[in-house]
Amino acid sequence: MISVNYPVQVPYREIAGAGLQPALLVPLIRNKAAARALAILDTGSSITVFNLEVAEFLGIDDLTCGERATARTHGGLVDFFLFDLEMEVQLPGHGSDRFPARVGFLASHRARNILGRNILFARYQIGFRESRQMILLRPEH
Amino acid sequence: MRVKEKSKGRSGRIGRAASRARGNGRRPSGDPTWPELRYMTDHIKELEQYRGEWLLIEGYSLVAHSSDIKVIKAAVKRHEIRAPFVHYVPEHDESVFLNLR
Repeated sequence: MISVNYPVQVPYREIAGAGLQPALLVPLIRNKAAARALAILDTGSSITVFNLEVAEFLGIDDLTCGERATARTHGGLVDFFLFDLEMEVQLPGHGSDRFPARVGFLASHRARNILGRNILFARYQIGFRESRQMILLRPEH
Repeated sequence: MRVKEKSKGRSGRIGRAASRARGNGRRPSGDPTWPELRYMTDHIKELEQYRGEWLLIEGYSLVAHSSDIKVIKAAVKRHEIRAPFVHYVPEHDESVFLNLR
């Protein structure tokens, strides 16, 4: 049997227009620009993507400067562009964790930012305690 | 298009967050609760009226809201916010999940 001790618990957040969700507010930093975005932890997504508008606040005026990729969604294929930047996660009682991240930005407007498995899930063991509406985190590093 | 500015907000708080994010050596106090999230939680029903709009929340204040992101950008610049927290409130008919796979 595998048992995991999660030292960090973060409550689900009320998100305007979306209700209570397992979401984190993450600062993104690119050169001298910074923006903060509320993003949902999504185990069903293999990638981490943010809205086009977040990219603009990070000074990315031309998404095509990034590496182009395509994702499959229920609504069909969507293009996104990858950029190397830094992401920060703040953990209750454990300070903050800032690390390099290759993040995607959607070429068209979407209503959500998604923290998929490729970045945060590789850095933390993540559990969901739905009955308590808590995100459980254990750093892998 | 509705445009309204609610208050001047507290740009200093955002500036500190940005500085912290850039790794200037200062660490958070241990309380990770962002005032912006507290504001959203405390005003969740009120914010429903802004579906289809962008919100600019700074500290415990709604600084601006608009369906035009350019208006929000202008507010960010005017208030000299270095690490803006901008949130889009989806319309009822907008998909809330991407389900990227």
